Amino acid sequence: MNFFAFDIRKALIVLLVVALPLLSINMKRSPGEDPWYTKPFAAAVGGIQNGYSGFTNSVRGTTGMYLNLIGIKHINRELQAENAALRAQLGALAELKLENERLAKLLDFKKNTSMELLAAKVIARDLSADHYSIRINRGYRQGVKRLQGVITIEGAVGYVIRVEANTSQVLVLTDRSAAIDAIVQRTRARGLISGKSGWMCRLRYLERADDVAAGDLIVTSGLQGYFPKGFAVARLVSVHKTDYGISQEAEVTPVVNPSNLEEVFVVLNSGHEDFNERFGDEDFGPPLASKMNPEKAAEPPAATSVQPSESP
Amino acid sequence: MKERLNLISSFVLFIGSAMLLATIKTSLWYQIFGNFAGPALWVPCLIYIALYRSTLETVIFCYLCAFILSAQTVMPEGLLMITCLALAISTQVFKQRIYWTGSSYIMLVCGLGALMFNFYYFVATQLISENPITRPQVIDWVIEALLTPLAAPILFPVFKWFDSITNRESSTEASAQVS
Repeated sequence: MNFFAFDIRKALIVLLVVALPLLSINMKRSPGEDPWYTKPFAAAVGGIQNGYSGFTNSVRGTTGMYLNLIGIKHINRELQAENAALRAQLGALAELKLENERLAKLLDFKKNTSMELLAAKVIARDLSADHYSIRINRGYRQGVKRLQGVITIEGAVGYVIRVEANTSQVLVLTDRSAAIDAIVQRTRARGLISGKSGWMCRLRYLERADDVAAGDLIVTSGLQGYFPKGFAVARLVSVHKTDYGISQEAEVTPVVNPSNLEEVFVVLNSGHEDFNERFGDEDFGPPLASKMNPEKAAEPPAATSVQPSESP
Repeated sequence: MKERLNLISSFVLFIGSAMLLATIKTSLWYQIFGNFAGPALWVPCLIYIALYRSTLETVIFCYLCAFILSAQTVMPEGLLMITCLALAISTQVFKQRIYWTGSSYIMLVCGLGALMFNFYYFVATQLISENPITRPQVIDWVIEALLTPLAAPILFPVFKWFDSITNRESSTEASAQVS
């Protein structure tokens, strides 16, 4: 093997490879300026790095967003719970306010009357949809007796039919078996109010010659002593006069909505109170039918309808 | 002696349940939903007795049930008894004609029972009462009939459990097999 025999081409390549780094190291570069041959690499690297950076940023952002979402979800849940609690509190406060107003009215009514009244709360309703009775949380231990009248500020509700120790059953005047002695406030015509169905009643046994018209206020007669005299019961809707017979019948709607009762008064002693002396027609509210259908209430009351009956 | 004790305790349990269930409608439902028609929850109790007990036991239960219900309504006791009896007997007749096991049957019978209870009462007032119902609350009847079957699949297992603790399962099974 000849040590000095070498390929000139290989020697040149080796020289070039070795020379390039040496040249690069020893070349005098102006500061802040990259050589032209590094620029493409720098640009490529920069692009790739930017890509990586964007990728990691987006991953970090997504992860962060996800983590934040978990946090937000948690916070949201807490806020929702807090909101619900506050709403419930607000609802309870509003309910308390309404109850307070209602009770204040009841108290005011109780103070300004000579009647002996017992406040009671409605705790149950009738089992059957075709009957109208309520149960109140006052019984014979609190002085409730059978047939005592039950009223609200708006008007008469019904009367006690069954008394237990701490509860009583009240027959609402809209029930078919209820009956209250009543008079027409305007003309003092006398009749008997009995239930019909739902929120309608009948005023029966009016004399044929009695002057009664739609819109008349029907008040308690106070004869039985269970109710105060002149207390609102219902408003007359229409009169049915038969061709024959000595009496006429009218359809009336109670002034008290029996389905909205919450607190009532049991009249322990009517104390000969006469509401005719204290209140006029306008002091009592509109009839129940008008309350339930305000559009019709705005219309003037219909003329008295006289409907001949088929039966003699 | 033990059998009689079981019979009495079974009656007591069912009567207590009927009272509790009727009170749920008149008081608890009323406190929450106001005057909106609620499920006639005592009907499944009556239906269960009519389906799985002898006619004599069913008749006795009907009378007891009428007394319980009359405390919560102004419906006359006599009319209530007739209505309960009519419902129970028609349930037994229905069972003789159509019967299958499963909750769908219970729901069907209870729904029909709730509807028929009101209908029989309406008919009874027309035939017997001096003051019959003139405007039946049919919408309320229908709502009751739709809501009652929803409670039946929950109540029947409880009634079955009553039977198991009072050893009345045998009578239940026997009646089911006969039909």
